[in-house]
Amino acid sequence: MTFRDVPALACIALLAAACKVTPMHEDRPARIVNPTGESRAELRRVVSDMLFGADVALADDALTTSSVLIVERSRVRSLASPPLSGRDLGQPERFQLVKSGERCLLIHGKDQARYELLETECVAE
Amino acid sequence: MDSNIVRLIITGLCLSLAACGGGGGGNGGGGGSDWTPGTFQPSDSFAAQCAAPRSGTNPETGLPYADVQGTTLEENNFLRSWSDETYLWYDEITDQDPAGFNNPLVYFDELRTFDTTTSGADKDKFHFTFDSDEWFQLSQSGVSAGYGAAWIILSQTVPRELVVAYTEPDSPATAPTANLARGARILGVDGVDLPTANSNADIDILNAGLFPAGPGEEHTFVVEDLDAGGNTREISMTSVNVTAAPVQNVKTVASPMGLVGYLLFNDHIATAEEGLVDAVEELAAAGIDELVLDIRYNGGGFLAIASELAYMIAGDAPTAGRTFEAMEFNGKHPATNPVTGQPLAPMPFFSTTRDFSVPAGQPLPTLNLSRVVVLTGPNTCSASEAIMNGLDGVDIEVIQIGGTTCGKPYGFYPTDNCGTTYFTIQFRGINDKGFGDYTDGFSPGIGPTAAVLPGCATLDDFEHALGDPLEQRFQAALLYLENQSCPPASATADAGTDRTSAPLSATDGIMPRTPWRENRILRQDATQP
Repeated sequence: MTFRDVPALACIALLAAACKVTPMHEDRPARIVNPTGESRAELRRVVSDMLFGADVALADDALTTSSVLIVERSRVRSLASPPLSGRDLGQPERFQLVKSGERCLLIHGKDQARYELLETECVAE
Repeated sequence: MDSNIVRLIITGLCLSLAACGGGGGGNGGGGGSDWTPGTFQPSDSFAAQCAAPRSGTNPETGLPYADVQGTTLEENNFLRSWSDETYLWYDEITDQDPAGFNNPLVYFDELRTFDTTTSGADKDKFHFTFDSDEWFQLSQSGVSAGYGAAWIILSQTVPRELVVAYTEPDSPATAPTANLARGARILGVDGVDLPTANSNADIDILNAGLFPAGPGEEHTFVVEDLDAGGNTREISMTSVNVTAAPVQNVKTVASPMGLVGYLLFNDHIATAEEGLVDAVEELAAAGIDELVLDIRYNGGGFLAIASELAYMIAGDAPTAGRTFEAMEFNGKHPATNPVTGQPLAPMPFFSTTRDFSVPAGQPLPTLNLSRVVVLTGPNTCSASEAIMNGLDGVDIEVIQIGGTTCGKPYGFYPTDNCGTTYFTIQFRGINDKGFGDYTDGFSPGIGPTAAVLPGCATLDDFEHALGDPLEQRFQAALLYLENQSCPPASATADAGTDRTSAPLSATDGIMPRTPWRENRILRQDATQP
């Protein structure tokens, strides 16, 4: 028996709210529909987990208009508080939401890690 | 007297007092010191040896914090060696005994040059620290808690003045219940009079209302709109996580010189890549003859996005094989990046997308212009200045309209040690001609700085919308393009001292010169009771 064969069983051993999964169906870019407080909290929690527990602020409409979520270092958007670095040489973190079968999966662009969003409703774009 | 000498005298007095047991404050690093002036151990030998080590996972690496029990002296020794290794002007640091300081932040403040530029300004204006937990915080690109109104502070102290510089679409600020627009004055917050409040409690109320810590905070504001004839209104706004639109107001204006394109570029965040590509495609399709790039409020960000935009403006021919910006470290590292260990390689003009918000490798659209007008001010900083310098380096004519830029040709690799992230200038950015000496900023026409570009000194105009051809800076740009002349002196006059009576078209926003978070807020006036 492999993890690929029994994703539901494997998920039990993973995070309570999100499961790291391997692909079984064709991935189709997707966006969130009917977001709720629970789905927003789940998304924030999963993104934070994928980024080693970093504190992450997301918009309420994150992933509702696009399948791509881009995360970068926070900055205070105030004219009186310019970007601290100003010459950032790094890259942002990129995530994509896909619909795989009936599941909504978030894929981290950096390592292609996949997490299932269990509290989230999504539709293929 | 030379400022370094004064500092040494003061430091010496402090050390003497400490030796007598009466120094208080900044001295006494704890434990004996093996300090030998001019001799440095590798910074790695002191890294993560902390007076208060952290536990848990480092969100930057996903690994447990490397912190082990150490002392303040070891933290100071790390800073001393790290500065000697990587600080751009390491040889201008006065080497002081790290055991003489019981606070690494105080010691770090000493680990920089205290030289000044020809204008008399500090040579190093960007030496600072940040709490690492806060530095590690991430957000969806462009998202921050607020109302979607970018405040600009015309006077931080009494008589205090604050106006709306611009707004974000679909935000509380632009909702019908608030309907804020550029130029609106904020006269009160939560019952506190903004121009005159001067108690600590009232200042705290102002700051808490203007700069909410998170979403879900409701505050009330007294607003005087432009053309309101002195009438005011009270509004209530609840903070949300606002998503900024870094590229706005893309438009074209017919002129005697042909079609002039305009775009407002506020921030080099990841989503700007897509916004800029869309904007340039639109302007290219319109067949513009000239471009006015409004970066007066753009403080920088991802440098590669600056390179992409410069390429999109100039096109292939002038940029192929040329340097957009090269990093120049201190003399110990002529060929190798001391932080990454990689050979130094200049950043080219990127001709394809870089996966910030558009998948990597897509060809960028181009305008193929031989000149560009940039609208600037004191908030134009860092990567925004790199656009100007990069284009100038490949002989694209850069015409500057507005105010002197902030003067930040420098960069850092922010470095965490024991819970504090340190920013010390480690490299200078130079263009294809090797120029990067604009510490005093770029100035239009004539100016107090060494880096002068053709153009006109013109103050900000909060009485017109950004992108309105009647807005003074845009208007000056159109005039200059037509006949290489500047508007009358009234539009370029200094802000004057009486800000309460000055029309908004004759003022320019103030941006604190140090990026400490405290400086974004309003201050108490020390001259008031």
